[in-house]
Amino acid sequence: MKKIDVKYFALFREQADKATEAVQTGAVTAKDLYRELSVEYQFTLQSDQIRVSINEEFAPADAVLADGDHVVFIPPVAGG
Amino acid sequence: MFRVSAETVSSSDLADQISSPEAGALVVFEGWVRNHNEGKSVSALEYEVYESLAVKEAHRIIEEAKNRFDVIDVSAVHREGALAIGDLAVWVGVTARHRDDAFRACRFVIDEIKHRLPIWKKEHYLSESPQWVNCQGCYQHAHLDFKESDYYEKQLRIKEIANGGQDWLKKARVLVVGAGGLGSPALTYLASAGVGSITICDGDRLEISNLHRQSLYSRADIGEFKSILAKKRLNSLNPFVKISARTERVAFKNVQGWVSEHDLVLDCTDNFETKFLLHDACFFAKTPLVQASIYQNDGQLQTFDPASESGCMRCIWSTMPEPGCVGTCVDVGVIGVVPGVVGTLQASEAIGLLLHRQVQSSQKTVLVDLEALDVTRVKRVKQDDCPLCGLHPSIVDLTRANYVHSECEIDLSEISDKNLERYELIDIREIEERDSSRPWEMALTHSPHPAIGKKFSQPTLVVCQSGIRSRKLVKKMRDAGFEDVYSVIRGVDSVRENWDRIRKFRC
Repeated sequence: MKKIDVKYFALFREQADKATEAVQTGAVTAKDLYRELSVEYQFTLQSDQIRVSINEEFAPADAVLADGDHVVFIPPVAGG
Repeated sequence: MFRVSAETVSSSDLADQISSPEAGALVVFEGWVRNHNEGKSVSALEYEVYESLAVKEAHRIIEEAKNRFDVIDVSAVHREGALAIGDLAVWVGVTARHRDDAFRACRFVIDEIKHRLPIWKKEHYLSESPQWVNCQGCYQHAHLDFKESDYYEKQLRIKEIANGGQDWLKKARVLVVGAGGLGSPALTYLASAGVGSITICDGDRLEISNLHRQSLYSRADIGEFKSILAKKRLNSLNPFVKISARTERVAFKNVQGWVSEHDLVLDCTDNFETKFLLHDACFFAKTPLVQASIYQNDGQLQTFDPASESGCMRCIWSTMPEPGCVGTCVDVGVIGVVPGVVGTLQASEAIGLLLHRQVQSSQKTVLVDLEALDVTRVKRVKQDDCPLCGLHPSIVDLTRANYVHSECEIDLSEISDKNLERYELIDIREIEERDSSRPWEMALTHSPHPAIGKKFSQPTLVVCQSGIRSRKLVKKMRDAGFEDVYSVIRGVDSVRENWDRIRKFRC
């Protein structure tokens, strides 16, 4: 198990009803973690509709997570 | 134009001189010599005019009126010499497309003439000796003496601005697409900082529900084009910057031309299609783009600068996200202050770029959470497999297919009149969504929840509120084998904009 600091942006924050949390997870990749959290929070977007930041850099969905990583899930937004 | 006349003037001749086929309104003010003033009976009047100064100042007033209001022409005449009771002493006429501008501009011009022109009046009374009165033109208003540098006095105290920065701002030509929630603060700060030339592009008219977040406008402006309103507001804020207004939307046919005429573009729009189109057009033109988006309490800010080595938007989103996968301001709501903050950040980044600074958002996408007052920066690394800036790009020009969600969507403005005539327009919205006071809505065939059957056998355009439901329906119809059926992009708004063309065949 590893500890991942997760930050929720825009509609993720709404759906998770929190802005940040520390997650204990066995997820290998960012996509695995997203799927795990989707089950918990009923996220409406599919994993291929979102982007992931790991340690403040855009990363591919299949990037492998390490203990202590900071992860942000970023939905597409277009409002103005 | 303005002139001083020693002879009697004819109101109808003056009005004829400013008539125009474009004008929908003429507002005229006539000032007459009356037979009393402050309790005394007046028998006649004499006007003395310092003509050269009066003409110069009056032309300034007329120019100010043209900048502040959407008028076609302004003309004024002031009499000099001896006048009798009932004579016409001053005449102001304004033509405009709409009456509101004509009324407001006419009021402005006569008030300023009364205040600012060096004209003196001598009143002759029935029972007393004559007197010079109301020497209103004897003083000059302080604001006439303002110089452009007075506007920037406080920012010129900053070394970077004083040492060339102000000139860079003055020389800059900036295109701002979208004059709504983000555009309002962005435009305000660009104009007040002295950005020399600003083009405002917005095809929408002001609605009451815009006012909680769109700080450039007021209630009296409802129904008018935002770009024209914004131009007026910015002209009155800083008359030294050149503002152009465009009421046409950014589209394939104009985007390259518009981008090429500017040094910097601000994307203050609210939809993916325009964001991707502008982004790619700026990429091909090598023009920096400051882009922002908002969602409820959150904002996202990113600058795509061709001079930087960072990833472009297609490095992150290689194709356009589906519309409706996240809501728009209209659907999910927004707190007015959020675009206020994010649009202000956009102006700040834009000014940074114009001052030749390395700005933060050109390296990193900035995510702002205003509820937590938290800022996250995410580095954008260039991707070798990016379809636009990668090693083997697949997007090499502005091909239409890259900016529509599917081939079953169509933009009404792209359909020729001949083709438009062929299509049946079907409105699939619920009855409560239709506004019976709007003829363009009522002219559509109303068919909510249509069964996919033979009623669609003729060529059909499907319309809903924003183009999302109609797209879903058209996809199903295409799957069922109907070919000549399209979903109208942006729904009923697009019908309204193209109404003049549509009505020829429908009414």
